[in-house]
Amino acid sequence: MKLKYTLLIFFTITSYFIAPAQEIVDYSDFFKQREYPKSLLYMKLGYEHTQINGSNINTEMVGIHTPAKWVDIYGGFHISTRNLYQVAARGDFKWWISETRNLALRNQYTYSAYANENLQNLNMSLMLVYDQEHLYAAFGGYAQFFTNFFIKENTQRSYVWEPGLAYDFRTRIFKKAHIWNLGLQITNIRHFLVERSYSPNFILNGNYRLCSENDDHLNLLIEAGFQPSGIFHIVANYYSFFFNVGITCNI
Amino acid sequence: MQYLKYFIFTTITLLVVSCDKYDLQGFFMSPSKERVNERFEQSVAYNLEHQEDTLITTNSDEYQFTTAADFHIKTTANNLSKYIKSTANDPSILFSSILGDITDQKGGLSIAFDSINNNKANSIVRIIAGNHDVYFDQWQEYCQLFGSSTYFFIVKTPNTSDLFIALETTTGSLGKLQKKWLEDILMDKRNQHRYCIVLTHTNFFDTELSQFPSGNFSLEETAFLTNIFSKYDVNMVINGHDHTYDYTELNGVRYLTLEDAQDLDPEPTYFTINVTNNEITYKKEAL
Repeated sequence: MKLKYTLLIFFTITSYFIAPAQEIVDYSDFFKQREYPKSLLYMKLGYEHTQINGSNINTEMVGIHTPAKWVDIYGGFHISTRNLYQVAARGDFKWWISETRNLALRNQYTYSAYANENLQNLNMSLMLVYDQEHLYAAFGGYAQFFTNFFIKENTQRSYVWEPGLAYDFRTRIFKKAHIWNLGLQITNIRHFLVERSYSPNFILNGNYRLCSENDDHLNLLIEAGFQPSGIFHIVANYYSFFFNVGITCNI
Repeated sequence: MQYLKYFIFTTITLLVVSCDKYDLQGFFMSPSKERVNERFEQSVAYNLEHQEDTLITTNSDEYQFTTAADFHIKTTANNLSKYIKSTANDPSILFSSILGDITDQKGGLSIAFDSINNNKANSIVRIIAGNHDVYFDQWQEYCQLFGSSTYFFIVKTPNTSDLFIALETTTGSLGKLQKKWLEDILMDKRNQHRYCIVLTHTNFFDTELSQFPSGNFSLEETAFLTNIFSKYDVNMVINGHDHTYDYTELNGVRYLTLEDAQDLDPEPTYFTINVTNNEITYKKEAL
């Protein structure tokens, strides 16, 4: 219980009292040219096979609004042929704490609703980020709450609280502005889901700028990923495989 | 600095080679050759040949059973022997259960088997496997000694009956076949019985980090399982794995996580579950 309240106080303090930096480091000319506010639309079509649900086709549409350099607001839905209907909203707040070493704090709030499973989830995470052209590393903690949408008769609503680790490690072979790129990612953070710490996703990412180099108006994204189960049981088995093709476009 | 990499390499190699508690290849692939669907099929095949195991009868509608988990037997099985003997000698206990992680290392399962058989007399013991029990490719030995890790049984009392479902969760997922089996059992049988109690090794929620980073179910599977438990009025889900007592309620389902019962534990425990017409209660007991 002590840990629970310590983390809650920690998140609250960091959320309200760390002011966003006025000068944000832009180590890339490409990103210096960006203007804010800006909005992106991300659409994807995906195939997924999971250990308990077998094969399914899914689609996802996400709006990403960036009113300033230090915040991204996500909202969208995920629909799958295995009757998973998920709506989610997410806010990413970034405070740069070092101009020379590209260090930042990433404070993320993710709300997910599993309509078919009668479960909703709010995840709050705080990570220290090291970001440069070929490497992105974020590591920190999260606190998440579960509760149901509909409560059975004669039952009181209950909330389940869990702490855990959040991480997002990405590499890329070219600089960010390159017309195409490939990279590896190990993370428990997806668009609308912060998976438990012991369920990492191993993802091969690729992107191709359909307009030209240094232009992110239309970007083709491909990802192929794998998630084991039981990796920290030390009896790792295959859990899921997914393959997604999507585009992002400026709107 | 130039020797640092050799030092790290040597240390890791020695760790991997010498470790007889953790089967470190399991970070990348299961030390059990069989995947979850194959293990489930083996359990079902055993169940078909031993259908007499699905019924326990008692002469009262109110009864008690005991449950314990995580004995992690190395070379001695003192706590396991004590647990089985104390419940076997208590006429108020209908049966006892062991919720996985019986052993820690190769050879431990046969020590546990001897300990149970030497102490249980005529009492009934129900067992499921935990993640440590399949380390070092011990699943086949588990099957030979204990039979099955996915099964149901019914406690038949004079005026009613209760349904117990045991699930194999050693690799943090039920798998597609076991999931379908669970759904079918709940759909076909749940409404014929007074109470339904589910036994698993892996726990469902990590409300504290005492055993970090012990793995549990993915979020997707947690959402699915908690929903069907609630939908089919499962009364209680009992599990081990985390070594720390935890009690959580979610939409009418009670989730009880047991403490461990290792010989090395200064305060090993087991739980007595009291089933009455009105409610199911539990009590922690010192070993």
